[in-house]
Amino acid sequence: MIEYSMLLANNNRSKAYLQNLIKNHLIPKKVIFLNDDNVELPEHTENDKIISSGTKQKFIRRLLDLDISFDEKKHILSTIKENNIEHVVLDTIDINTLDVINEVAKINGEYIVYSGPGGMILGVNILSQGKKFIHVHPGWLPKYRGSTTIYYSMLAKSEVGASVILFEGGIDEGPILYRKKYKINEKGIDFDYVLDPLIRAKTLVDFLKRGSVCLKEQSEHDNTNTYYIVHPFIKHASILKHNNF
Amino acid sequence: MVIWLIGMSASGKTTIGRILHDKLLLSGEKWFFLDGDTFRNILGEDLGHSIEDRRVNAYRISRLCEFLNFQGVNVLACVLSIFHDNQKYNKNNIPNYKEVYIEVGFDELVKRDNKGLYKKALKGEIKDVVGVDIDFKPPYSPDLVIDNNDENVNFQKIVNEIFLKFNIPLSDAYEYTRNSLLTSPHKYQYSKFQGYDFFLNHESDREKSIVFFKERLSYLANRDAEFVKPYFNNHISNGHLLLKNLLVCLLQGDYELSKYKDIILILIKRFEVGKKLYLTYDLEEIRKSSLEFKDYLNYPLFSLVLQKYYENEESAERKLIYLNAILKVNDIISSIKQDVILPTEIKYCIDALEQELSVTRRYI
Repeated sequence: MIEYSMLLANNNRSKAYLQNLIKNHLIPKKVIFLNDDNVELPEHTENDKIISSGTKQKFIRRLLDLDISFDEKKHILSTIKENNIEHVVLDTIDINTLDVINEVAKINGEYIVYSGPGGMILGVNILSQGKKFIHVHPGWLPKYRGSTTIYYSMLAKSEVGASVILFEGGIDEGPILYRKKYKINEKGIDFDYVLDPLIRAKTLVDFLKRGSVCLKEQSEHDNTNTYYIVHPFIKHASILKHNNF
Repeated sequence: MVIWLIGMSASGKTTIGRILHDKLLLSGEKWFFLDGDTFRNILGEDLGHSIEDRRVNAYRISRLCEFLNFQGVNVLACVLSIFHDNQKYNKNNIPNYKEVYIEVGFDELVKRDNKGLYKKALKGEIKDVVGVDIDFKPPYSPDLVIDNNDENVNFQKIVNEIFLKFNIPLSDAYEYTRNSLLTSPHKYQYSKFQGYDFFLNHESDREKSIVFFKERLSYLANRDAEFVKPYFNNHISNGHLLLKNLLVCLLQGDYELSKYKDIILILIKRFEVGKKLYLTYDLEEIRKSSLEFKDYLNYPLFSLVLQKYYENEESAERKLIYLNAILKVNDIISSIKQDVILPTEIKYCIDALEQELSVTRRYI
């Protein structure tokens, strides 16, 4: 069993991670939860604004192909509290602030699973706290580095991959711990808010279930491409191709 | 506007018409749907299907279209029209009359004939059927001909083609070129999914910009403004990379594409991050060494060079890296079209947008 803590923002990815890790009895030792109610991240959904689930109503997002799901309405904090997980809530979504760095330094253990706000890069100060940050990149590394790679791989190859890596600065360049490719046959699935968090969660759970860490360094000689935020044309072509439009 | 869909029985004109009508209503304008059979029924089925009765019916429909159009109501008519004189009447008397011919071969029509109309007519069991005992002449001068012979045809695509052809605005237009992207760059994060309409909006944006540029070019040509083909023989000066020189040399084939691929990939990275193209870059890390980004010629040149790399690239996924940047550069071109005034810049902007469309159409 790999002992780990988590650094989470309130978004679908974090919800998918936490709910599925708990379902698989892979409970984090501690969660640092970043939650600034005054900031709306681009990846936030309507349900991210719900502070605690006042009703029993659920909003299940699922990927039948991979037999995995999560409840989008369930706030991160509700999940943490229901499962009596040690946690600290920080009133910021900036991962490089002193408060966050101090809390990271206090973590008792080597590994921290990271699911912060999209597009934010861990700075030198937070990376120099002697912790190893585990990140799941929604692309087959090193071939698909960068942003929104799901759209590119679905359009070019009709498949998606996810890679568990260690953050070591640079864009998706850290050593690979585990990776997996998936063929998605299900139609009508939302790529941003469902497919992306669920393939990442599935890969993370599979990795942690293995119980050991084995590093594979990415080589400069690997067939590497870096992708940038997808233009809406490619996004539409990818989604509509997948749905056989 | 009056859009008249002409096609024989079982050609799909009513099916296409219904989808087209639904979409036309989304534009917020009034659109009256006029179907040949329904029209006959409303008027009490007082006419048969002989040539004489068909002619009377055709002119009744024409006059109704003329009347409604005059009242400010758009009409979508799905009516089998067989009289060239009636089509000429429409063109002469209905302002903004658009004629679409849905073309399907007779054998295919017989195959699709759910009503059994053609089979009965071919056996002589019924009379006055167009295509059997009444001759069908395709419209003499339709504005658009749609080939609907493929039984797996995508009706949505046909409808989109009609929208594009007649420049019909949609409520949900292309939102990525509304403001000057050099002043307010777009981040493209979590962009909204708009379904197939997105392609229509994108294409319409590009088409409109091309028309705009061509009109401006012809205006300038009348005033003797000249197109000057740029020429350079090197791209390095005082330890800096001169972007325009490099792009011109690559575009005109003076430089081998493969030798400069790494530099171009770094320039793509710089562009994707900063959303601008600068006059000069340092040679070591290809970082901007000038603050000037308003040389408008660089944008179409970069787009055209990337299109060369796109065509040259074998890997489907790597092609997308080029395409992604091409689309973003061309969004910029489309967003700043008012500011582009030199004939050379305009000419390359037209080429960049036209070539992009020839690539994007492969994905639709």
